Amino acid sequence: MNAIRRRWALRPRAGRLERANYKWIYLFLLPTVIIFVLFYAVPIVQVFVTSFTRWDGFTSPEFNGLRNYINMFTNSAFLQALKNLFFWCLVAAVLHVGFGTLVAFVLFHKPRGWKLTRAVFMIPNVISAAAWAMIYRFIFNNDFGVLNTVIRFFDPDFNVQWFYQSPWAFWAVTLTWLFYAVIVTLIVLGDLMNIPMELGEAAKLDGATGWQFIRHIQLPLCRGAIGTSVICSLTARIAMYEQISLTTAGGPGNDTMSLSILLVNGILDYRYGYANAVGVVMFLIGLVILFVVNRLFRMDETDY
Amino acid sequence: MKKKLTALLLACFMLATLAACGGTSETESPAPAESGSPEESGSPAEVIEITIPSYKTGENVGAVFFEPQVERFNELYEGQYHITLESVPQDGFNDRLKQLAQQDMLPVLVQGGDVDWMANIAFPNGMAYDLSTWLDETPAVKDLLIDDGLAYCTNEDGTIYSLPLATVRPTGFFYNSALWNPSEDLSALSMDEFIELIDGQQIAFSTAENGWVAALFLTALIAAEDGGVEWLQSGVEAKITDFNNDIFINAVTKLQSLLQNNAASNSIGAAYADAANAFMSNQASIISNGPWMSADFAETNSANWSNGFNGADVRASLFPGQVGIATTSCFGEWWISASASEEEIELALAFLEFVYSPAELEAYLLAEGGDAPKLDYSEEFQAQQGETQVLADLAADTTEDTVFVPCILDMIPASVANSDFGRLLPSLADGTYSPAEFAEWMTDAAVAATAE
Amino acid sequence: MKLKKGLTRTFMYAIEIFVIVISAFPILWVIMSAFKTNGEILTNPLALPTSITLDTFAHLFDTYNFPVYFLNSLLAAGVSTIVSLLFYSMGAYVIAKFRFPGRQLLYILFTITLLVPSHSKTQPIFGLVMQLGLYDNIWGVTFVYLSMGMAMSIFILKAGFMAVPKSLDDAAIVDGASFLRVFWRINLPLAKNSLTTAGVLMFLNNWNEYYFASLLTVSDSQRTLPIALAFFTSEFSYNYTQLFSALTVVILPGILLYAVAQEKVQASVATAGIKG
Repeated sequence: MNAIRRRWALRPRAGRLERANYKWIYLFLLPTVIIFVLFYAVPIVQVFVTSFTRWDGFTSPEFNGLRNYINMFTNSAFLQALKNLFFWCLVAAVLHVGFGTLVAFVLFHKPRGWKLTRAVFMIPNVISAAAWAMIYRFIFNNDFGVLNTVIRFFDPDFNVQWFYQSPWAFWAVTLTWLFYAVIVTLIVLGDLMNIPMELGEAAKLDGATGWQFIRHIQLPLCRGAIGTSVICSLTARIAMYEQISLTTAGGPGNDTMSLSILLVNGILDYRYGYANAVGVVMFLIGLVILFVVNRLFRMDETDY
Repeated sequence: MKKKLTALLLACFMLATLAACGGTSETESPAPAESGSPEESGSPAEVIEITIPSYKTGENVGAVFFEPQVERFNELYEGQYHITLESVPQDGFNDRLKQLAQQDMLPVLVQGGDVDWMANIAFPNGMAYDLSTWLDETPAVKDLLIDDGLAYCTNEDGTIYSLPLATVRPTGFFYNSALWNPSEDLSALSMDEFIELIDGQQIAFSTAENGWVAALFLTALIAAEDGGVEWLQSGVEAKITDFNNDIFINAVTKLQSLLQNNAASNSIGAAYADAANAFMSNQASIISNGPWMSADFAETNSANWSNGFNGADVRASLFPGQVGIATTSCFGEWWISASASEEEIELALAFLEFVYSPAELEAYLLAEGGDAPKLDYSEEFQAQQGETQVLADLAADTTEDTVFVPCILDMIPASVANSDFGRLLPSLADGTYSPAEFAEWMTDAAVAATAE
Repeated sequence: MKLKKGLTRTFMYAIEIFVIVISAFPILWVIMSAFKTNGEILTNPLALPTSITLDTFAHLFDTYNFPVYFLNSLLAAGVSTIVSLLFYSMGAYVIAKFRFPGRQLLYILFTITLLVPSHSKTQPIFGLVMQLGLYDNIWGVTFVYLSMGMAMSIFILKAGFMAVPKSLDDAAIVDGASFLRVFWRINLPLAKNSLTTAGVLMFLNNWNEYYFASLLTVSDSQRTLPIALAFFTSEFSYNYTQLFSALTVVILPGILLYAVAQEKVQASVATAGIKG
C-alpha cells in the first residue's frame, strides 16, 4: 500500500499524461497483443481447460474433474519433481544469480582481459541446450570423460558415474548450468553501467569504502536487474528439459525428476489432459515466482 | 502534423512486416499440398507423381537399402509412376505425421508412425485407405503375409489399413569368436546352461536412454521363465502394468547378477553407443542386438573398430531355448492415406506390390537380415545369404521351432519404455535396488502412466 | 591498503580465469576430439590428436548443403529478432512508463507465455502456418520465431526502460517532444544495453531452435542448421569421432558469427553505458 502511494506521489502528473496518450499506448501494445493472440491465447486456454479432462489429443476431451490433479499429487515421481524444482530454484536464485552478479561486478571494474572474459562467457549460450547436454555427457563419462580422467591422475582407481549414481546425479545435472550465468551478468552489467557517474564520485567524497559503495548504492540500484535475472533463471529451471532428458532422464530413481519430463511422458502415453495438468502446475509456480520476486525486489518502482 | 506522419509511417511499417510474412506465401511458397497432389500443371506425359517424406534417406541406416529401392521402382515404371523422396529427420517424424493428419494433408504413402496413434486415432478416424479388397485381388502379396501380422492388422469389420509384414527379423545376440568360441549350438541350450557357459565373459549392456541392449537380454531371460512367453505376449492386448510377479523378478535377478558380474566396465549409464563401442573395441565379447547391426561388422565400417577388433570374427545366434525377439503381431511399415486421389492410390498400390515382390523381399533380407517365412527362396538368394556370416548364423537358427517373443519395451506403456525403464536400470545395476524393488518401481511407473 | 588492493585484483583475475576455463574448455575439447580416432578418444581423452584429417568434415560438407542452412538460420533468426525487438520494446516501453487500465493483466499475460509448453503450441502454430501457406518455407519459421522471445524480452526491456530517468522524459515533454520522439530519441538509445541483451538472447534462441524448424520445413533448401545436426547425431552415435565432428560443424558457425558480431555488440553497449 505504502509503495503504491509513494509511486503516485512521485508522479503527480502521471494521470493526465497517460490519458492524453491512450491511443499511443494501445497502439504500442498492439503488435505484442497480436502476437500473443496468434500464438499463445489458444494454447493457454487449452492447457487450462483440458487439464480437467481425459484427452488423447485428437478426439474430443471428456471432462473428468480433478482426476488428473489427484493422480498427479499421489504420484511419488511428481512430488520428487516438485522437491527437486524447489532445490534447483534455491540454487539458481542464490548461487547462479549470485555468481553471475559477481562476474558482472568484476567486469564492471574492467580488469585486464575483461572483454575477452565477457566474450568467452557467452559461448556456452551460443550453443543449443541439446548440444551442451551432449557435451556434458561426454565430460562426465566415466571411461573417457575429462573429469574422471583428471581425477585419475591423483586416484587411479576412481570410478563414479556422475549422471547415474545417487547422490551425484542431482549435482551433475546442476553443474551443467550452475556457472553459466552470462545472461545474469549481461543484465546486471547493463544496469551497473546505467548508474550515473556522479553517484560514484559523490560517494567517494563522502568517504565510502568500495564495499560500502557496492552494498548501499550499486546493489540496491541493480535490484531491478537482479530481480529480472532471478525471474529468468527460475523460470528457466521450471522449463528445463534437454539438460535432464539427454543426461539422466530423471534418474537414478527419481533423483533428477522434473515436471517437464513428466509432461513429456504424459504426451508419450497420449494423456494430454494429464500432461496439461502438469503444465498448469508449472504455470502456477511460475506466476508465484513472478509475483514474489516482483514484490521482493520492488521491481515496479523506478529509482531515478 | 509531423507527429501524425511519423505515426502513420510506423503503423504502416508494422503492418508491412506482418503482411510481408503473409504476402510471400502467395507468391513464393510452394503449394503446401505439394506432397500429395498430382502435377497440376498438366504435363503432356501421363506420369503420376507423388512426393513422400521419409527418414530412410541420407545418412540414415535405412537409406542404404530404401533409396535404391525407390529408384528401382521409378525405373521399372518409367513414364507411368514416379516417387520422389523428401528426407526429414527421424527425430520428430511421428509428430510431423500427427500434425499433417490434423490438417488432412497426409502423404499418399505413409511410412509407419507411432503405433498407439495409428491404432487409436489415425485408423479409427478414417485416415487410412482400406487395403482388404486389394489384398484379396492380389494373392501374390497376401500369400506372403505373416499370419500373426495379418490377424493383428485385420479389424473386426474385415478392413485392413496397415499392410502387414511379410518378413520377420528375429533379434538374438552377437559374439566375438576371437574372444570366446563355444562349440555348442547356443540357441539349443537352456538359459541356465547358457549362463553357466558365459561365466567370465564380458557382456555389453546399455542402461541409459531406453536401456535397449539390456532390455533385449531381459526379454530373453523372461522368455526362459515358466509362463514367461505368455506373460510377454499378454502385452499385445493390453500393456503390462504389473511387474510384481515371479516371472519378472526371477528374470531381473538374473539380469542384475549379469550386470554385476559379467557386464563390460562401462555398462552403468552406457548409452547404445557406449555398448556398441565396448563390443567393437574388444571390451565385451557378447552384445544383444538386431540383425541390422551386421552392417557394422562389414569391412567398410572398419573405421569404427579399435583395439584389434575384427568384424569378421563376429558370429550370431538366437537366444537359448530357440528364442528370437521379434514382434509379429504388429503393424507393417506402410499404409495409404484415405484422402489420396484414385490415381495416387493406383501408384501407391503398385509400389506396395513392388516392395512385396519376391525379388525385392530377398534383396531386403540380404541387406538388412531377417526371414520371410512364407516365401520360397531362390537358389541364388540362399547362396548369397551364406556370404554374410552373421546373417547366415541367424537364418540357420530360425526354424519352425523358433519361439518368437515381443521385446519387453513394446509391451509396456510408452513412457515407461522410453523413459522409466532406462532411468531405473542403473540403480539395479549398482545394487541400489533389489530385483523386487525394481519390480515395484516399474509397477508404480506403469500404474502412474496409465491412471485414468 | 595496498595488500587489500592486491588481493582484490588477484580475486578478480581468479574469477576471470575460472569463467574462461569453464566456458571455453568444453568446446575446445569437442573440437579437438573431432580430429582424433575413435580409439584415441577412448584410450586417451586428454591427449592432442596425432594427425589432422579432414575426411569427416569433407564428407559432411559433401553430403550437406551447409551454406544454405547457414543462410536460412541467419535469415530466420535475424529477421525475426529485429522485428520482434521493435514490437516488444514498444510493448515494454508503455508497460514500464505508463499506467493504464489492463496494464498489470497484460504484463502477466505476456510474461507467462514463457511457461506455455511447446507441445500445446504445436497444433495452433502448425494450423496457422498452414493457413498462411507458409509450410515448408523459411518465412514460416521466421514468422513463428517472432513469438518466441516474448516473455524474456518484455522482462528485460521493461527493466531497461524503467532505468531511464523519468526526469529526462518530462524535460523532453516540456520542450514539446511528441510521444514517438520521447520513445525513439530518448528511451530507445538510453535502453541500448537492454535492447542488446534482449536482442542477443532472442537471436541465439532462434538460432538454436530445432522443434518448430523441423516440424515446419521439409525441403533441403529451407533447412536450418539445428535440423542438420539432428540428421547426423542419431546415425553417427557410436562413432565418437564423427559425432564430435558433427557437433563441431554445428556449434562453430554460431561461435564464429558471435565472434564477428560481438565487437559491434560490445561497442554499442559501451557507448550506451556513458550517460547521466
